[in-house]
Amino acid sequence: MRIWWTTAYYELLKYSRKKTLILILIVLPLVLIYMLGSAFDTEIKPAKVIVYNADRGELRASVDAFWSNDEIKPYVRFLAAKEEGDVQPSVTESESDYGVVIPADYSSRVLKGETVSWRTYSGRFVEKNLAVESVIDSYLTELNMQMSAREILGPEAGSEQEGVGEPDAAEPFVLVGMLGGDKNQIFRSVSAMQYYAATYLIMFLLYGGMLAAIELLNQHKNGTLQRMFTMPFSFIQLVLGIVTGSFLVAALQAIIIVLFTKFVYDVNWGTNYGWLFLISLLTTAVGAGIAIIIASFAKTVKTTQTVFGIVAFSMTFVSGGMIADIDVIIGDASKWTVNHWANEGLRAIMNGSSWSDYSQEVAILAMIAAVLSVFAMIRLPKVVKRHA
Amino acid sequence: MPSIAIAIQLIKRTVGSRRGLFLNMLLPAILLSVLTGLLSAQGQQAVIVVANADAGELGSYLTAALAREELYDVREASGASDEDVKQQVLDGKADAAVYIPSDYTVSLLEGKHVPAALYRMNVQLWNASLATTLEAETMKLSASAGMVARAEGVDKEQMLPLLQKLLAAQEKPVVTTKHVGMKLGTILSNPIMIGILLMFVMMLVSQSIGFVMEDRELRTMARMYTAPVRAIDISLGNFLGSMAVGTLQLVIVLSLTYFVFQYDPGVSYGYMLIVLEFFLLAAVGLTTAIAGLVRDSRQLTQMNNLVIMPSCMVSGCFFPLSMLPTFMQKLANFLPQKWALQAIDRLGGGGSVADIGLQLAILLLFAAVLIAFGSAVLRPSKLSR
Repeated sequence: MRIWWTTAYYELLKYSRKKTLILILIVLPLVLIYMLGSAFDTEIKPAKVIVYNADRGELRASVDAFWSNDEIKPYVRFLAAKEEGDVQPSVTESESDYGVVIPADYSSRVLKGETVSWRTYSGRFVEKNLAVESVIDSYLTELNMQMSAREILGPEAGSEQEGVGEPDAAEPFVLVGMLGGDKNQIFRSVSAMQYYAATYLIMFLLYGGMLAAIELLNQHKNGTLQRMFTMPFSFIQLVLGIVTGSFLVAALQAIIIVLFTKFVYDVNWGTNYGWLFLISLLTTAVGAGIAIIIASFAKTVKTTQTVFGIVAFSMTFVSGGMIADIDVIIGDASKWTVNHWANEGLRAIMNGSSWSDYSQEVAILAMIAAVLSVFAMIRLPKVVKRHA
Repeated sequence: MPSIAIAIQLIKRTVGSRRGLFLNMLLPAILLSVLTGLLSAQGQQAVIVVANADAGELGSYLTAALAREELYDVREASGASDEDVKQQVLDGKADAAVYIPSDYTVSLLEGKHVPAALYRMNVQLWNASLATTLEAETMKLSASAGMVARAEGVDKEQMLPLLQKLLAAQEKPVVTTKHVGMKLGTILSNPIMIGILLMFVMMLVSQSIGFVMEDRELRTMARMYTAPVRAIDISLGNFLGSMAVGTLQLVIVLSLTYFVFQYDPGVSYGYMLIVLEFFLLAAVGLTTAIAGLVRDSRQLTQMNNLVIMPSCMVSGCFFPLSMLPTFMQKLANFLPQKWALQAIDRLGGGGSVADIGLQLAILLLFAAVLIAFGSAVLRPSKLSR
């Protein structure tokens, strides 16, 4: 036992002196979580629309009032153009998402009942174009309706109904049912920040587990292991100590990432820290298991790193770590990754579900970890005892 | 010329092995083409289920108005109840659902508002647009019906024909919108393909600069300096080698994706290669600058892991820049990837080389400043370790 812990302690000490390693295992996930979390947050980003109103006629005031109406503000942000020529470049340069030019003869033609067109410049983003177009259409629909009414039902019809288009608070035209609360469909009941915090914790814990295999290979290459083998104590304890060292790094990783995201990014990790820790531990075990199995075949640090990197990256990708709604494209393939079960478990904990809701995920994760550990134990001699 | 020989050696070391050839040439090409396949198959149209229970005509009028919008995939669910369509949204089978009640036409003709129902999971820009469209259309029906109902001298039988006439008149509106054709590139709004290519270029460059660093550590470089070759030739050889490896990768990857996997970004092969060549230069600069800051090639690999992924994200390689917080968008100005993407986007929008002069100049500036900063890497180290 003493040998085990002494080895583990010195391993941890050694890791703590590798600054770039600490940066990669702890700082990099924090940076990635922040960037993806803030890029994909569910908050609506209004479309910026640049408008040049060349009209100086009677209807100018009502058009201006429409653009600065509070109701459209959540979806459309209005910018006034100084001159007509500014509109198109502003859209081309992505300074605005949409451009509108209202012609100088707008008022006079409308009042005479002649047709007239607003010129529109759609931008790069389909969704934003749609938002601006629907807002413009709704305004023009009302205007056109009043004019048609005047034509068909007589001159009083349109003006008499002034204000009829304003949706009444008591009698809305459309009842909107929000089924998902304020949660996002894509991120399955958690926020974007929570989603990526969980995903990248799991991905980097897998890498943390890989340290065990790398360290064993290194010490074998340097001949340290061979020399230790001659010592009159249990060799297996020494090897387990080295593996434990990487588990301690992973534990540290989990603690720092969880606490940092909790207090700085305001990520809600739920309350069940015991289960959270168990999932982290199992994930590390899976990482270590996979890495040792790869190392037993690959036999060099470089190849192990490359192969493990490809495995970990593709599992993260398939389980939705880069494109959150990837299951739309690839179906249930994510269920074949370790990350899927760990992520599902973490997300359930974040939602504050009771443990029975995620015990199945944790059980599957534990089973994968157990199977991989057994295989890793069988293959371990190939890593540590070659030519010994 | 000795520089050429040094450059050729560097090429051999990076892509001379089967492993190097696979990881640096084939893998990026395969990955890029898989992504093209995946992303084009996606074709995301929001699915909207419309249940029209209305016995009268105005319900179908409303459905037709929604179906006009090309960006929605409107599916009519005849006979479905309010609960049915709600469940479809909850199950993720539809992105939004609209339910038109059975007394819709009758009530409207009596001058009463009857709300249609819209179900969605949460507020997003596209479904807010759907709500706005739906609101405008229902308002139109409601108000038109109201006006007809209140018009003088109209009896019950005349109401529906008159309303239809009024609605038909609105089909030919007085004020319309006219789209001005904009020639915009699609790269900035959908950058992932080019973004990943840029990432691979940076990775490969970091590898070849890593070899130069290795030479320096193992004193191979110091020994090279004993040969009757000018120092400038050696530095130039290493620099040319890094550029040549990158160019080789670009040509092979681009050829495979363009000609074998039929990827068409709207930019011709030649123009694409020109911009990427400038980017390559900036990437060599960036990597040498980083190499100047670290001690050995191991650290360089680790630092690159830290630099490449986050900088690609900030500069809009994987998702549009406009999705990021404003301060990060400004930060992106200091990264070469942003300018390369912008240049390619302009070309895609029908621009010529003259239109991207600024972007190319900025990439050159990056290269000049950074290479000057990191030039120590290309010389043997003076300090003994």
